[in-house]
Amino acid sequence: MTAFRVLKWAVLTVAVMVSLFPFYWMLRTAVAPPDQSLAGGIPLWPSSLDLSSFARAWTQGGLGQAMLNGLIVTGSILLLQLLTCIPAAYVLALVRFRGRGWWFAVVVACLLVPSQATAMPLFVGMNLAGLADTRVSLVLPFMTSAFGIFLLRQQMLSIPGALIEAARADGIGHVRIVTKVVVPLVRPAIAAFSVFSVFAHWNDYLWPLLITRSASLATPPLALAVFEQFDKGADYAALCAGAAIVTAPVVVLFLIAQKQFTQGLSGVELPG
Amino acid sequence: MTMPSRRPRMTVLLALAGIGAASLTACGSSGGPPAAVPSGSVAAAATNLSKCDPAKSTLSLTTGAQGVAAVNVAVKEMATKYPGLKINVTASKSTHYPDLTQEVVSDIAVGKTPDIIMSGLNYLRFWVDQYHPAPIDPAALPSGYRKQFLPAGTVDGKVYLAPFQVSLPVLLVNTDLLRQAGVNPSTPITTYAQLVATAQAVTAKTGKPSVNLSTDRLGDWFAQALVQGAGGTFAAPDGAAAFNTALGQQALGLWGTLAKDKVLLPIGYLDGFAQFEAGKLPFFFAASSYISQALSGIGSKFSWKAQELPALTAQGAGDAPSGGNGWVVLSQDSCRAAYANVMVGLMLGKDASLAASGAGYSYIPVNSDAAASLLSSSDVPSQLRFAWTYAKPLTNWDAFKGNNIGPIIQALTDMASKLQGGAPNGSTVNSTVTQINDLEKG
Amino acid sequence: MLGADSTAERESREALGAWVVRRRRAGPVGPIGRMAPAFLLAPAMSLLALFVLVPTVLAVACSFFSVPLTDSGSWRWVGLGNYRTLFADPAVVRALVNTVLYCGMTIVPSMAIGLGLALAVERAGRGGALLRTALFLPMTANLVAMAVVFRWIFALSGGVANQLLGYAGIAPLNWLGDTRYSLLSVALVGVWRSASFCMIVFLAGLATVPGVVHESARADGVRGLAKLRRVTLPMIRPTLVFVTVISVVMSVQVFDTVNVMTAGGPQESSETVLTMVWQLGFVYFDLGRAAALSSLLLIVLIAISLLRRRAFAGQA
Repeated sequence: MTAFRVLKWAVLTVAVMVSLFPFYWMLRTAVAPPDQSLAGGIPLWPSSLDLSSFARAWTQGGLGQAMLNGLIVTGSILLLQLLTCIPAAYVLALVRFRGRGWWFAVVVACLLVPSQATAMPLFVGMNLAGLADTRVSLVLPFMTSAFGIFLLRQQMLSIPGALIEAARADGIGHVRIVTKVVVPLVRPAIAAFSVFSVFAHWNDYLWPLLITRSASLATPPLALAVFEQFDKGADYAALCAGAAIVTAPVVVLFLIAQKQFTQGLSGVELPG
Repeated sequence: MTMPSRRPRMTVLLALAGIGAASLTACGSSGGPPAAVPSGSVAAAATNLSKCDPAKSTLSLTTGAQGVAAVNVAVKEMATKYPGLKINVTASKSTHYPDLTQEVVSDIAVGKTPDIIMSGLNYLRFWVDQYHPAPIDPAALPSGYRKQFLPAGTVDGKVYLAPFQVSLPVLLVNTDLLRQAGVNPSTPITTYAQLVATAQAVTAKTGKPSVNLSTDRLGDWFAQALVQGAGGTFAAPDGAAAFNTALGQQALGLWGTLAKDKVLLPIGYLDGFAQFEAGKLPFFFAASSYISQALSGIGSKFSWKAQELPALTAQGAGDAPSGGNGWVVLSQDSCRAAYANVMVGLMLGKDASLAASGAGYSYIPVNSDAAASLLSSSDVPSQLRFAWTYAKPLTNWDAFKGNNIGPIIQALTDMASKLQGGAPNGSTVNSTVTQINDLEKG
Repeated sequence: MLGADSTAERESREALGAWVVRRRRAGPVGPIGRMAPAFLLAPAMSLLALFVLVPTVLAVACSFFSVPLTDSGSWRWVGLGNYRTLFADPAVVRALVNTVLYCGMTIVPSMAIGLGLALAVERAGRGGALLRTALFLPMTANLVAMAVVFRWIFALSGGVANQLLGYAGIAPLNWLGDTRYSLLSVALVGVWRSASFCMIVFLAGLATVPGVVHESARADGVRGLAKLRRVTLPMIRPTLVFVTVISVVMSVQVFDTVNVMTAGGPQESSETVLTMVWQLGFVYFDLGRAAALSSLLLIVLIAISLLRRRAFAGQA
């Protein structure tokens, strides 16, 4: 039995090392002086620290502007998604009306469509509407989320119908029911979805790559990728510093809100 | 489940159909009329301009990141010449010509054709064949403009592109590493044999590969340089691929030879550049425009030099292909075309040229006044002097037919990559030429 | 609600009660009340239609036309022509093959590793939370950022992967520049990330196995691999199906790592379906073929999701 336990802990140790190694290497390369970072070398920590790579990533790589863009875009998307998804989920879960099933089927159908399949036509549409290369175009296609509606509706189904009917019978309007009754009850699901939305849109690469051209509109992953292709040759210290800057916010979010994070990313069953 | 009500379903279907139909027709007609041959040649522009009101025109210009400084200079000059004329400059975040081309093509596809665009020299025929720009009148270009660069912008005898930032393929050599390996750094490296011998000597001492001839970013350009350097023809005048000769194959065999002798470091261009700047790579094939960045990156860490590429043999060395970009006027409105031509002229003038080939990118100055000014400063490093004073003729870049230039460049890059990996010369070159000719037909 | 009992009050109460009952049967209150659900639902529904359904339909429709980006004034009907040229193009076929290979190289290993780690972490007791955090970190990291870091790790000159190989006495590999290894390098990053995701989902699934099951298994003397095979796995079947579907969907849509690390690799050796769609649309300017390829992807994804429904139905 102890052999098994030793094996188990050995496996776990290796797994943790493998999981964390790229992060460690990223930070190590970012703070190593330039000649050391190209030499590689396994000394665990470089002999001297050179933090100028972060400054280079921030200015030359345009990451400062990109982080701001990421904040604005991700924040706007989340806000709009919550504004549209919560009422829609409420209606689909708790308000009886004819044809409700069909509308829900529309939501489920949208869940099946991967975001990449719609990228090309949306690209053409945005260009036609004159919105290409604007901050609006980064937010517009994501103003609502089928996943969000689905997730929130799932949670809301567990609210007893009698509660809602009582409120309706008291003459309380739908909007007030949503804000005063429903939202407090599904807060965990809202938190989980919010985390998922921030995660998905902060890290989105394909759509910003497609629709933006100006350097001033780049989102963090895009700015980093463009920085990598710069004519300056491969400045790996600055690139790793940039990678650290881009990764940090979501990792911090994860560390603060682990439960919501894991729930948002994985804990929910898709329609079955 | 209750009986689904008809209304929502029908409404949804009708709405979808409506939007779908509208979008399809919108898409169908979005391109507008096919690019009409615009009326503005520069000769006509002189008369047109008097009829044009600057306040009523808006010029749009798209440039890569490397041209921004010069464009700003020209914008200021245009503002003093034609007050009221609005100029919208779109600067791509990239310096890579495929990215720039894609952005402009997307704009045109939705009806927003820019008046002036920057084009990589290898995309010249693409613009000419697909979009029919107006020819540029060489006589109307500023007097200091060095007309020897015009062939790079000429198709069928007419000039459609005014070369703006021009570079040539160069070999950067880390002379300190050569010296350390016991090789005399002043031995000439003008033929393949000399390069291979020197590289072998250095590799024998250091145990590491000593040459980087990358294939990822400039593979097609280096291939052309090697073929033409041996005296061969890369693209025939009619645009067909013409390097499938014994000479062409031998010229392209440099990759295989270097790889076989294990002196070739098979990494990409940017990585190779970083290695060279760090002083770890003796031989690096580059574009001369990178010399200024190398200077600032290397400083005084080691001594190095820039020279022309080695050729297959000492005799019969042909002309190198030009690299870089130029301006094409796509305007469809005669007034805007006239203003566009004036602006192009300004961008080729002395001040803009200085901004274009200054310390940031060491392109060959296309304006002789600018060249004189750059070279007059007291301590121009020898490498920069080499980049700025190159005076031999340079040919077109990738002058294949334009409709499928994207896949053609990809085929050339793949060919270089295969040769670097040791694929047999003859069959690889054969199949690539066949592929290119098929693409040109299609 | 109402106060003391008097005839008048009782009557009004009954009247109110009747009114409430009538209202309930009739549905929402008043014309505005009746419309409110529609107003609440409309924004989301119209946005979904506009930005998900319509583009999907358009993309599929576009795949039957020849739509060169350089001459978008003309949509020319070609029927299945785009699809036929797709399969005749060796680069596209290579991309399809690579995607299948990539899925094979990532899905099974990451599920196996994820399950193994979940089983180990489940019984870790002390430090379990810390372990979970450390092991989930790969999934939280920005994929583009990590691709940049991995590009550096796998670099031929100066990359630490080759250094580690050197310690083991193996000659350095050109991870990203050799046609044999480029797809493998990208797949390794994929496994690094997906295993983390699988582990978390499996942990959640394993947590749903009631304690009595473990106890009865122990009582029956079933343990180890046999227990895994005969008891645990069947109990977490929905989780297994879920993880499989999500893993397949994620793997088939790989784009970020390939684009950043190898850009399709030397000679299309790491080109995948989505990077090929990009290449077709924006380097070759052939929107019709790009739409055809992405429609194929869409069909595959829908098929997977439908298969999943059937798997679920079979179980219930």
